[in-house]
Amino acid sequence: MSQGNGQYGSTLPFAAWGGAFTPAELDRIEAYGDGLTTAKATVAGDAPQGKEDDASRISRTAWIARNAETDWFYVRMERIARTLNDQLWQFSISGFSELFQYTIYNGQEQAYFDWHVDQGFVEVPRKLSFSLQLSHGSQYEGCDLQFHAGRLVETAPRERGVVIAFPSYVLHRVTPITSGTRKSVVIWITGPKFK
Amino acid sequence: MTEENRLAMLTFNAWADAFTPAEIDRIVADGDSLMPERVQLAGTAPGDHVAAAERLRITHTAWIDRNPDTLWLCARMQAVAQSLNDQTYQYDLRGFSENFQYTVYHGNEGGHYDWHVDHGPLPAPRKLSMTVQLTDPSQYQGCNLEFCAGGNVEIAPRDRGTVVAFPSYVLHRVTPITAGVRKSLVVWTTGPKFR
Repeated sequence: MSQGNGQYGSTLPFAAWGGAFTPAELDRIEAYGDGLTTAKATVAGDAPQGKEDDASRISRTAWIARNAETDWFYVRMERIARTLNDQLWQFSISGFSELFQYTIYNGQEQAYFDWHVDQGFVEVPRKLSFSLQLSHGSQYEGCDLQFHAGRLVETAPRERGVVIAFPSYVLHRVTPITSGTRKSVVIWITGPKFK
Repeated sequence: MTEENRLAMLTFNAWADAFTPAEIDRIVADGDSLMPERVQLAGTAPGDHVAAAERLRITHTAWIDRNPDTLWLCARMQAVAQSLNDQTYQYDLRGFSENFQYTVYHGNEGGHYDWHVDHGPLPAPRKLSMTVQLTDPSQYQGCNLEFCAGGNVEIAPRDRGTVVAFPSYVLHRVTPITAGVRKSLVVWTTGPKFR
């Protein structure tokens, strides 16, 4: 595992790790995700099972189960997560209590996900969130992953293969996609609630 | 967890009438006697020639230290913090490692404090922030303490004597004051970094 670009400046609310996956590995993840049926995403809210809520989110998601075909991906992500956590946050983390979420933003649907935090509506607290960029930044317009932890909004790198990591309490969004398709995998590592 | 509790976890918790009117008068008299100094933070465009609205922050502040006259105030804030922490957050808190900040917003100079979070690269990180409302809401316009954790911006109660508490990582701001003067006391509870 190479660290590539490593983390961005420590004052940013997120870290970015390039080069954690080879192009062939990214192709493999993408092919697996595309093979899953993607449902229109729900946003956790009033309804116990979540609700479709176009006001805050339009995207398509599928869940990547842990199995013989995907185990290597879970193992790799856990190493990335633990390494970044050891270096930057030292949060108490347990592991992946949720499946990885394969997420597609489609230009024709003008998909987006408005400002939100990843905490709050799940039984096992999410501590760190990760987004793996699967599409080349040149394959779509808009669809920036952005963070708001200060006066300025910060934009995450778009390069294919970059893992972006952030504490799950940080406010973030995905801006509307205006053309093309952006694919990503969203991962949460959970643990005891913040102390 | 109730919906109300969830919201409190994500944004703020309010404790009405934490102080009597006489006690508030005493805090205001103490704070005013310290002659709060103007604090102006440029934010994105440094220099003196920045329009008021462009600045990150325009306030007057003074620091209330721990002394025989203010022990009662420290004790009260300690009790409020501990109760709220026991009820809602269960953070590992160790006390106040910074003085209390007496903060005044003036309507005639566009006082405000744009979006920010309170934790910083400190040896004792801020974990639970508290604001005491010291001015009757009829005495000023604007100057709302607001929170954003996605969805709607939440406005804190303005009532005099209310303590508004929130995790220091939650994005918040004070909107521009358009008339009158708003006085407040800002207190940070610190402890080992979140884990």
